[in-house]
Amino acid sequence: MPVIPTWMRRLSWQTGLLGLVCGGIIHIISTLVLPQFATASGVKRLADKLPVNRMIVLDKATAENQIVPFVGPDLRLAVCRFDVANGPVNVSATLPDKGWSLGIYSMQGDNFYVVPAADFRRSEVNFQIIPPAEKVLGFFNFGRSVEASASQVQVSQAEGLIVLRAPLRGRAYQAETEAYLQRAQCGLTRG
Amino acid sequence: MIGNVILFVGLAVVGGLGSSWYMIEKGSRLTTLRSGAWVAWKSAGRADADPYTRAHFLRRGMLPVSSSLAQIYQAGTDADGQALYSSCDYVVEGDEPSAAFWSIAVFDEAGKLIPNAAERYSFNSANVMRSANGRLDIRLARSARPGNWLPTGGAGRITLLFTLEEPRTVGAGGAAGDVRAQELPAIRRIACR
Repeated sequence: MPVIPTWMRRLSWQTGLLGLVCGGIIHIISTLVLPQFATASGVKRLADKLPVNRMIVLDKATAENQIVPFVGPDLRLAVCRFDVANGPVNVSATLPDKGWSLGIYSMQGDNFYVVPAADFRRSEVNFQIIPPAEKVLGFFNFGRSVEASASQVQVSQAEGLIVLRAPLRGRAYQAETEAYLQRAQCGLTRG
Repeated sequence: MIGNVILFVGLAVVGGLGSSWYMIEKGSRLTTLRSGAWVAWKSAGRADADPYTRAHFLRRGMLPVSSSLAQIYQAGTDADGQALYSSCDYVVEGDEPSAAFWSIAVFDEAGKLIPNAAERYSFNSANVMRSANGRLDIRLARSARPGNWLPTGGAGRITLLFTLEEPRTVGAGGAAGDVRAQELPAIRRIACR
């Protein structure tokens, strides 16, 4: 029969149970609270360096020039920090080959909308980002006009990031990749 | 009395914070896909991501890509579970993964590219040299090696990143549950200084 040490026999099971319950609460709180205090998220790092509603092609990552951790030189990015507080934002880009994609990120880092390049889809992507209230105003024809023909993406927050990702297959493809990235646009809807 | 206090603090503070740290840093079978030493987060970058996945990418300062589009595998250890160090030589060998485009890059522990005179940080499916049998053979070492050499400099602990763009293992629906692990090349230690 196993011998239980004296000090262990003095421990109360109620204390153990209470410790487990409190440990569970601390676990949940620390997991949920951490994102609220993360000031150096990838999205925030990029957003802090970018003008509003303008597509910027980022330089190829090198050891001396790397904005976001864990992004290597095989990936080129064009990024737009959008803000729809002053109106809808138009986005256009070309996804010429497999591996290219265009995504919309919330400031919390969620990639909630993504358009991948695909064989069966047109390589040109055009859509409008609108704030939640804009659709209602547009429906009653008040406020700013909303293009009915353009695809619309409704965002829950006014600010976020649009990221055009392009795989860089090698130096031979560099100029072509850069040209497609430079062609991408993002800006406030006129009129 | 003191024993009860230690038991309470141990379970509540150490257990609560420690388990939270582990789930955010390492993940579990519920939140990650594993292929040898390679680990990918199932719901990375998704609006419906679980709190551990969300906290993991925020803590590392990464820009996550939706797992319905790309799988990003990280490895901080070799196939035997030993931490990767720049003072050791490694070989990454195995069959090529199935994806529209893939790349393998080496970073220091904080995710920064490692400075080197050759300005070489990665290989991808378009520029890697394959062996005669079509398999991958990528060498990681401080000093130059023939073939696919990735310099590790004096970075200390290193992390490898294997990115698969549009992998063949993502289901048509693109839900986090549809994503399956790819078999990736193994990371083997050759020698340490």
